[in-house]
Amino acid sequence: MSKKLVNLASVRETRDAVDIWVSRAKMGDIKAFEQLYRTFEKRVYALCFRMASNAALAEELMQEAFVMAWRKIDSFQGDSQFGTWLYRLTSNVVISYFRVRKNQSFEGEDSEMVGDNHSSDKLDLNRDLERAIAELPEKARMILVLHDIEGYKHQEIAEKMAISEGTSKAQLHRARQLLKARFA
Amino acid sequence: MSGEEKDKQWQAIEQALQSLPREMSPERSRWTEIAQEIAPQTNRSGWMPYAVAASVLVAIASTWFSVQTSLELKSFKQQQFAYQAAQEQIQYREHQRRLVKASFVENLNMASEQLDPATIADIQNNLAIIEQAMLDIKAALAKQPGNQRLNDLLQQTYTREQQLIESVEKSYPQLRGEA
Repeated sequence: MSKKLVNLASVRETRDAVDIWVSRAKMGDIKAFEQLYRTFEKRVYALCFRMASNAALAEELMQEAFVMAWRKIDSFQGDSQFGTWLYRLTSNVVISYFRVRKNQSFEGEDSEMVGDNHSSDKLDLNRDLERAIAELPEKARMILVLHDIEGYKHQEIAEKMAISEGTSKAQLHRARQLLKARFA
Repeated sequence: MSGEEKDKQWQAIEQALQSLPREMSPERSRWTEIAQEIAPQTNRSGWMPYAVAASVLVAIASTWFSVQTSLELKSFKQQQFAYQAAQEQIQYREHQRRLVKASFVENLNMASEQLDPATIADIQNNLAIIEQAMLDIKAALAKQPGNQRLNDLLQQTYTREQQLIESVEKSYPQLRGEA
């Protein structure tokens, strides 16, 4: 059996286990939910960290996302994979945090400008990409993470962030230009 | 830097973005805090079956004593629920619409110097007509909240405004004479 087939079998086994944990968590089994947390913790944290650009805040948001997932798990109908559902919920939690708690709209321009808070050192693409993403303005960064890393479409990003598709495209263009400038 | 070089540069960045690790380890596990937050909800399951059983008993007794009243109440609740759901949907759509429209108007104002004044007046006139239609439909809905035809009409008007905004945004380069 090839290595690829072994990996596929392993993926299938994980998915089956996730399905069982989800069913049990829906019935109130907290141990099953802990298994889901252990499986998806790192992936959810990575999403929070890249969107929020702050390690401590990312941990808080990850915690909130899992609490929200527990409360809403009955609404997961299995139309998509559990992970996909969880990542969507997580991105909504992060967006909601920045919009509601910081009382701001995602429309309009970012107030902070790249260049104000970091040095003009030349960055190395392989070593400093995470840093360059973290230094992007808030909205541009979130849209870049959702579109270019997580693979969301502009339509979905616009709905999530309550902005027009045009604004989403403009912010992505801005983020890409700023990244290019950082590695030029 | 030429356009080709810029594209090559972006391709390298894009490739690096795709190669970023999908997982990152937090400094510490948050499971203890999560378990604390969700635990009270789990404990509720102890008394929940009794509460459900008690509700069922009360419901059966009520039905036995007054079937007619119960049916009327159910029908009223269904109507009330449908009305609330429709109102929530309208409020949500209205909120989204206001944000999208505010962004559009801002972009239109920014682009106004490059556009033909007659075109801008035409767009603003169309938006005003749609806004007035929405106000009229909402006034009618306040008098007849359950009128499905009016609800449909309001949704259609939202869609029409959205289409107008999208078509104008798509044709900005053409309106500026760039195309």
